Amino acid sequence: MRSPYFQAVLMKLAKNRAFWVIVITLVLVCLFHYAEVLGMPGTTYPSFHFGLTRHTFDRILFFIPMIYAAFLFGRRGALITSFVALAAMLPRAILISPVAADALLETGGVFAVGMIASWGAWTRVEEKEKTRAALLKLQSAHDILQHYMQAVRKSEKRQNILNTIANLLGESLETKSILRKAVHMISELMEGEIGLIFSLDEESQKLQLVASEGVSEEFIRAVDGQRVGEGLYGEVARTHQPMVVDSASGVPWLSMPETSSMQIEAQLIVPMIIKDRIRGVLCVATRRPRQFSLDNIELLTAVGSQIATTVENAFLLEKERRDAQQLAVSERSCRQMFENASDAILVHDLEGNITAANEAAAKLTGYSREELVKMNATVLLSGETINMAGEVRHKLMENLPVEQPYEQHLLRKDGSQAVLKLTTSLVTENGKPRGFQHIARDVTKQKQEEEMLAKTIEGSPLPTFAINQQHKITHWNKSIESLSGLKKEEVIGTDKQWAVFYAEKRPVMADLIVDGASAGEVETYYGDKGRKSPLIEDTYEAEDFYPTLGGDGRWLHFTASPIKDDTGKVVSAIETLRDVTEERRMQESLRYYLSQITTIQEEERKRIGRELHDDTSQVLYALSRQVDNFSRNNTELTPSSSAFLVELRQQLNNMSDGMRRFIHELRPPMLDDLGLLATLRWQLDNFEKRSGMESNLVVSGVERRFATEVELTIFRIVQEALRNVEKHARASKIEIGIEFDEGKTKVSVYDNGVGFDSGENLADLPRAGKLGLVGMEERVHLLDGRMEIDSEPGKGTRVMIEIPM
Amino acid sequence: METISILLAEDHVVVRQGTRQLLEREQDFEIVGEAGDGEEAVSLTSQLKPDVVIMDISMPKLSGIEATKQIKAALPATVVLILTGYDYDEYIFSVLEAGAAGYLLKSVSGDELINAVRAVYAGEPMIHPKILSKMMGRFKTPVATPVLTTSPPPLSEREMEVLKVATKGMSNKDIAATLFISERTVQAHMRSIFNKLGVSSRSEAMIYGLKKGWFSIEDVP
Repeated sequence: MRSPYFQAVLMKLAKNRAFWVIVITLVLVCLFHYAEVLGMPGTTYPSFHFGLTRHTFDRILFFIPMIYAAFLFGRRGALITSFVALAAMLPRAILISPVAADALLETGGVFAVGMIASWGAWTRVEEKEKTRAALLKLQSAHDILQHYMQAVRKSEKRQNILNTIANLLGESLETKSILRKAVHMISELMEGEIGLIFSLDEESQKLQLVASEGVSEEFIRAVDGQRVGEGLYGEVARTHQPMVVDSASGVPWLSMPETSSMQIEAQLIVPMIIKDRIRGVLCVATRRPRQFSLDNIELLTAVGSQIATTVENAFLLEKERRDAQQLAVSERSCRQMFENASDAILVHDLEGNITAANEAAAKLTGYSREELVKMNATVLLSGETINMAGEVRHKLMENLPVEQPYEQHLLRKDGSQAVLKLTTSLVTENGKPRGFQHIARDVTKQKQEEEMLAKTIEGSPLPTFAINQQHKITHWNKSIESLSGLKKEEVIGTDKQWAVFYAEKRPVMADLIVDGASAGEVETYYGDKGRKSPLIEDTYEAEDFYPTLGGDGRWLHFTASPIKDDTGKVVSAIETLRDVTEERRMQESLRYYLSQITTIQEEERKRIGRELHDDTSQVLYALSRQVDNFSRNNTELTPSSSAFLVELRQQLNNMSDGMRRFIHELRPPMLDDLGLLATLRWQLDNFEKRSGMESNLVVSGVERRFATEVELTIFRIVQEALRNVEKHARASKIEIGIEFDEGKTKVSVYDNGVGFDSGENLADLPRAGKLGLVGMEERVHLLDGRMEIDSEPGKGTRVMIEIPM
Repeated sequence: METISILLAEDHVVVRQGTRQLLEREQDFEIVGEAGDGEEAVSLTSQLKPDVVIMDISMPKLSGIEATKQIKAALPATVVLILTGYDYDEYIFSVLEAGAAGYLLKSVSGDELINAVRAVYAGEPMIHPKILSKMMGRFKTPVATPVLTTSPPPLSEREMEVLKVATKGMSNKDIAATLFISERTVQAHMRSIFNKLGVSSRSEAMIYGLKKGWFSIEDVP
């Protein structure tokens, strides 16, 4: 029994004061019990203690330590003490006591009673212990309960708050007011002076300050627009974790002028998260130092979520409302369009019963709207058209492509037919076909016009074709078939119009017209072969030679004009051709003849002049000289003979003078001898003398001599011009200008006479009797030059020729 | 008496022969050659070097005017007298510009022709002053030379005087009277002037002076 455990127990007992009390008590009682044996004084006191014998009393006294030990040390203590007491009492009982049996009985009795008593005492103690333990347990249970109660109360409180918030928030649906209320509430709730609500813009990843309380404008500006990861709020947005910041933490951001001006001491920043997505950041800040508890954080987070949810709901609701509004608006405008459309709109179901019709449809069909919605659409169709309608419907149902718009014929109430341009679409509801919608435009008139056009073109003896906006041939008559050799069937629908003119694809005039080309563009394309028609608006004409046509080429004169629709837009172009090859040839022949005649004329004159000069006038001179010589040599002549000879000579001189003048008029040798300029001077001088008009020669540039034909032509033209002036102009002044330029020479004859109507066309002149001018033009033309006549009645005349060198 | 060698240039044979017959009768005239066209005229002149060439304007191959220019270029001392059918001013101007000393119509009398030859050979005036003034007008416009050239005129003061007086159309005798010098002196001056200017007749000298702007319109009557 010398286990360490035992030792430990002993040690413990030894330390216990109560233990020693029991021990001492035991010892004392023992001593008292055996007092007389031990010779202790005072032991001989009366034997009656309370009706008991002393030694009985002694024995009873043993109860004390026994019970006490029971109290203190429980069962074990009671037992041990009892046995110790027994052991202490037994010797007396057995050895000393006179009546051993009585003594033993007493001892046994005391021992038993003591045992029982201590047992009872101990039980009571035990019970007390139990009670106390139970009480303790109860106490702790109570504590736990209390704790739970607190938690529940707290969460209740929170829930209440949230509900309050939700209610308050739910009062208005407008996002802005929600946020304002929210920020006010959180700052009140958290007892902070400052509240901030940030919303996260997902796209830009920036935090926008959507509501604030207790902060200045500057602060707002400084804080708004932080990026995720930037600054405090951005950091929270990034980490999705709440953050507590106080000035003690020494965050440099807090020392920014805007924030320190707000004297923020502490901040609680929480992320607003719904469904695991961060929607924004909440912040509550105080101006006094404060420790935010975990509770605060949890609460604010919860509030944040609530706010975010509410805001989101509000937003969604607003969107719904807006969508509904828009829907209403578009419905309204749709209806308006339907009503006011100028095109007829008819809607019917799958059986053909008309469900809706607008005003235009009523006008088109001749039925009233009330009648229409009671009718079946087939009433409006007949024969062929029903098949076509069926086809279209079938295609739409099968989702096959339909060429739209398409042509359809409609039977009106009065039995007349209308030609329509129709667009049909399938009406579905929830993906199921419900009917058809038709939009129709009455093109009856248009159709008639088109037919007229086609008839006109077909019947025209002039080669004609027409193209549409897509440059495809729509009309091609017989005449152009024979001119071009291209059959109608070959070219209709193609863009082969170029094949009439060219060997390879090139735009023709109709192409330019249909593209809306301006006059300038047409002129650029055709050069001076094309021009605007003087008679018809927007029409252009040109004439050109096409070598690939009919054998060895043809001259074609073509006119193209646009066809416009009601709005003035060009929808097609029509071009008419005329084979003018013969005309041209004749013209050329004429020109050729003219030039031949002119040349021959000149040659004749030259010949005559030469002959006259060479032969006749020279001979005359010679004769004159001979007469003179004779006179001088024969000094014996009679006066009358001398006189006769003198006269003869004079006559000869006169004749040769006359001849000289005539030759000069005919074809001035001066031209060959001295050149054009000298001759013009002489010409003008002569003219002045003859007519008495004031005349002037203006020269510019450096004088040059040209080929004889050129100088001669110019001379003749000036001659003719002067002749005209003399004959018709009744002028008082005439001026000839000659300009020597690089590469060309210009000569102009101007008079201030009565003028004449020079007209548009030089070709008109022969008819007007001014053949002289035509001759001039011919001569100029022969030299590749050009001539211009500018004259107006009362404003004089200017003839200008320009000849390239 | 000095013999004046003459070359006739004229394409019409009959006319040429008539002229020849006329001139041959004069003792102091010697017909040294005949040309039928401009080219022949130029070549014969350079060959035979006559004193006077009597030339028609209208000639084949080379016109009289052209031929005159060429002859004057080659032999400036040669006197060229144009004999032509046309008395148009234009002709006269061109002819004188080309360097001819004088201009006569074919219809002139024999005496006039003979006198003209003698006069022009002697340096006497041949152009009517009116024609000269007309020519002034012509020169003024196209040829815009300064009135006084920077280089000193090649003639001496006295010679300039003589020339200026000569432009008035006077004969040598009259010039002598005006300037109080002898006729012979005048002739000598004239020859000197002709030499210096590289001309052989009064007309040429005057035209030269006109072109150079030595005379103004007031100098000419």
